[in-house]
Amino acid sequence: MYFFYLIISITLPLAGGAFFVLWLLGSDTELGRVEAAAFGIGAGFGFTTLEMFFLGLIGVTFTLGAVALPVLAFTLLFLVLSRKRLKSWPRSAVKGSVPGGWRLYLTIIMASWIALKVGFVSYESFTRPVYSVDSLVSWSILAKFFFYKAGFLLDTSNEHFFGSGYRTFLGPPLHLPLLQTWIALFLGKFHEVYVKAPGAIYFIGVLGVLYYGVKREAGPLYALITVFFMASVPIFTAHGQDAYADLPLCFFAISGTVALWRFFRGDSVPYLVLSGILFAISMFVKNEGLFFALAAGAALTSYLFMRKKTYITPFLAFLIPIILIAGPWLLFKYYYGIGFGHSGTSSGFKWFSDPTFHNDSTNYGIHWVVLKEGFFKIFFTANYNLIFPVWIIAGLVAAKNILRSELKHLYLMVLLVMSMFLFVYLTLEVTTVTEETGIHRNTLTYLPLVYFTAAMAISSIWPLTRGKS
Amino acid sequence: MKKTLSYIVTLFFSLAFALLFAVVIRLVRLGESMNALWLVLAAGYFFLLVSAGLTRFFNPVRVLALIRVIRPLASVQEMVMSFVGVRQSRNSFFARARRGLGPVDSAAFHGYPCTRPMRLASSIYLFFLFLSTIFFLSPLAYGAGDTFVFNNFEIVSRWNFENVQEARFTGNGLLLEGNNYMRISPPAGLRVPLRRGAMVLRFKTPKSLVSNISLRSADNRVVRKHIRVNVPEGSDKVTTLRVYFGKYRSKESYINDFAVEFFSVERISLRLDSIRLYEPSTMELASIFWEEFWRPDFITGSTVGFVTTPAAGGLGFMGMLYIFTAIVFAALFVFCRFTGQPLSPRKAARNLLLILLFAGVIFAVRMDYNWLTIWRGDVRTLSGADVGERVRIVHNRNLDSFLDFIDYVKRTVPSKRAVRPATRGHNEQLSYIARYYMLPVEDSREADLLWSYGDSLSFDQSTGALHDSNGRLIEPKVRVFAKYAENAVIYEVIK
Repeated sequence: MYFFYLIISITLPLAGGAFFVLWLLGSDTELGRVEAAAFGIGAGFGFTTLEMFFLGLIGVTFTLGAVALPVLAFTLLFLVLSRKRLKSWPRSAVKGSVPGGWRLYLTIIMASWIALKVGFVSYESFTRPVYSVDSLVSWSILAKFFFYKAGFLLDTSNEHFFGSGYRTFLGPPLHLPLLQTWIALFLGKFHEVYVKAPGAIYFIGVLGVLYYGVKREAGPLYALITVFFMASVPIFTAHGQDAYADLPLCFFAISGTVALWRFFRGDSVPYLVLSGILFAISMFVKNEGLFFALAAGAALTSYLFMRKKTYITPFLAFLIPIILIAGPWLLFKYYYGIGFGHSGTSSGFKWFSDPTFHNDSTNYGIHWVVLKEGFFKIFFTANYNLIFPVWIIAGLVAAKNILRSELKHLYLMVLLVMSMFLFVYLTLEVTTVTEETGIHRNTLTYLPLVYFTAAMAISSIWPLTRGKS
Repeated sequence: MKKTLSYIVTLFFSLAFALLFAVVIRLVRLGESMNALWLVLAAGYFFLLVSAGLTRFFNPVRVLALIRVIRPLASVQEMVMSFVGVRQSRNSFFARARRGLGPVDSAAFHGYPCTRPMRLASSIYLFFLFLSTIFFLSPLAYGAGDTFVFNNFEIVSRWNFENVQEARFTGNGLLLEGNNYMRISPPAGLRVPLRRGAMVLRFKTPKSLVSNISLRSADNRVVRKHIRVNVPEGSDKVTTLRVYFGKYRSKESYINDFAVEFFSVERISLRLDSIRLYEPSTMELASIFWEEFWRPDFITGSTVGFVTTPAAGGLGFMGMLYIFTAIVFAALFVFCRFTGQPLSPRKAARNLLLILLFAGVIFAVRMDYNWLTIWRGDVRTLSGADVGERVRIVHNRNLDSFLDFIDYVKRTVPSKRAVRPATRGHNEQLSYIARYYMLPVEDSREADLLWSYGDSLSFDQSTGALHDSNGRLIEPKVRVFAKYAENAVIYEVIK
């Protein structure tokens, strides 16, 4: 019976998200059902947790009725609004013939392999309880607290204000804890296994968005190859079965980026709005979501500047969702002084000093050691398959094509995200790299972008099938 | 010319087969059937390499036809291709080989009309032939070593067995029983001369366990290996654990001490058959590396930060893949230079990317094999178990008794009352695990109920004072609110 309630708790927001995406992107005739559902994961789960955040802010007690009603209304509203689009039942994004010869064998092998991988991750996600200490103390403990307190407990005089004393740091955003609370409310208990089910959904979502992102540009075979290699990434698989927030952020990063790319390719403002929404929600998933929003903003600016396009409409289309969605969360943090960092008991930053690294005078300064260590960790540990050498070689070989196309803006975006992480490593979070506490999961968040840009670059030199050029 | 070549080839292969046969017989007689099998497989590979190497310089069709064994192979290949529905060209490599020699054409031995893929393949094979020759030139025989068989009292009586509650001879070895930890070490005065040390441990256990093996040499170099032995529940098979400890710098160095430890979350019952310390041959070493490389990793809750990188003989997996990529790319480069084919930077980059993609597939195979192993294990242990049991399993059963205590606290503490740890700090592992699993029982610094688990507190019943193991006063007046076990108690502060 619990499983039945779990399915409802997942399906309801996903359906709402898919209807919303169909409504928003109704003008895109190539948008397929599965593709809309993949984007809809972000919109659906995002809306669910945002409405819970607002309910928590105004002190509404978390009951199933109170939290489910807005989601139900959201789903029904966009079901009605997208009914025309639903009636036409859009086909898949790029129509292609069934491959023959070696391509058929390759497709069968890779598709089976990916299916097996999805099966494994889903099994683990739906069977294994919350098990990693980091997931437990950073995310699930807050979800459990919200569930049993039926709200945020925003009384600053209480020792457990907003989960104090339970969660190690109050600064990290609420998407994942609220999603777990949402499921627990449906189940009527905090089920140690089922609350982490979204891990598998996000795993599948990343693969889905990546597949359709590449497919529309480079054809199904390139898309399948990209997804095959992405699915082979061990850290991605590990997070798919866990309850940590880096995988959801990874999903929002790639889906926001693909939506942004669609804007670059067709100047479709709804895609830009969707991109803004997804990047805004990414800031509600993890603090690092800000990096992606900033980098996407920079990529958009460079695109508009180079195409000599008007700035106002696209910028507002991107910015307004960010202000409306991420703004309240940032204001909330500012109001209560929650902050962003991991410095001891407070959530403030101690620039140029990582309290867990070299507890002496050498602690202060720019920690250049992370350059060497970071290089080694990225290139010599089995966490990402061989995408980084491939990405670099592809970038060099396809440099002309990249510079001549909009792909340069995506490369700029990826490089900016990497630079922002590097900046944090150099000045703030040294042990994140030296002791591998965070570098790999940070890299996971932008890894699909690396796969996406590499696939785009390679397909621009050696197209396998005729895509949209 | 043709006859001479035929004689040379036939002689070479006859000698090689005779030598192989002799070595295999010898190995089987020594009881090393597994190594004999390895050798046969490797020899088969070597045979293919040699034949491919010859095709690089002579007409491949003729050379393969000279080595008559290729004909049935070609027939099998054709059958397989027909079965999967792939039509084979009459002029394909194997089809021509299967048909054998046509009329003698001396020109075919020189400047052969060989297709580009054939030339590429034979060049790459040649390159590997060179590498494999180096490999095979190293000694096949075992080096020095010692085997300790635990089948008689004289040997066993001199060894040290720690934490073993019961030991008796049974079947082929010594049955050891004890709680969740035991340690086995040899008598003093051990002297096993080894330049590169390996150990083979043969034992039988009905349950999975963890093994720690440490080896100390006379120059005080200590090497430790931490290995999880995964066996199906109730297994009746003998486990052979092969471990490589690396190469010793000094030739005079010898092993003078070692220890084998076993850990388990449950009671250990293990039949130890033998321990062998020896210097492995190249073949044996290769097979140890192979085992080491494929040894699966397991999910632990200790970090979400990374996935462990597999390694063999100290070389990480990524390093292997980069070396593989470099070798194949270099071979390709040499081939192009040798055959005078142009290799533009763009073409080179494309080939490099293709090689990297192929290496990526190898990566996927190895890493996904790991997940598959985990999946298999989890289906066995997690499926069907209730949630509480699964929580215990995913914590590797290290927290079983603590989680039982938490359940007890949740049952015992009345609603609206909070608890706090008696002595443990806020960030200690058991404290935050308790905070998480005890909910809805709240953890509060104001709580008047203190939980204590394994803390060795001293409670003075006459005064009600509670002290920690260092004699520091925790609370001046408490009473026992509920007692789960000797070291697992809930105290109530009396105000």
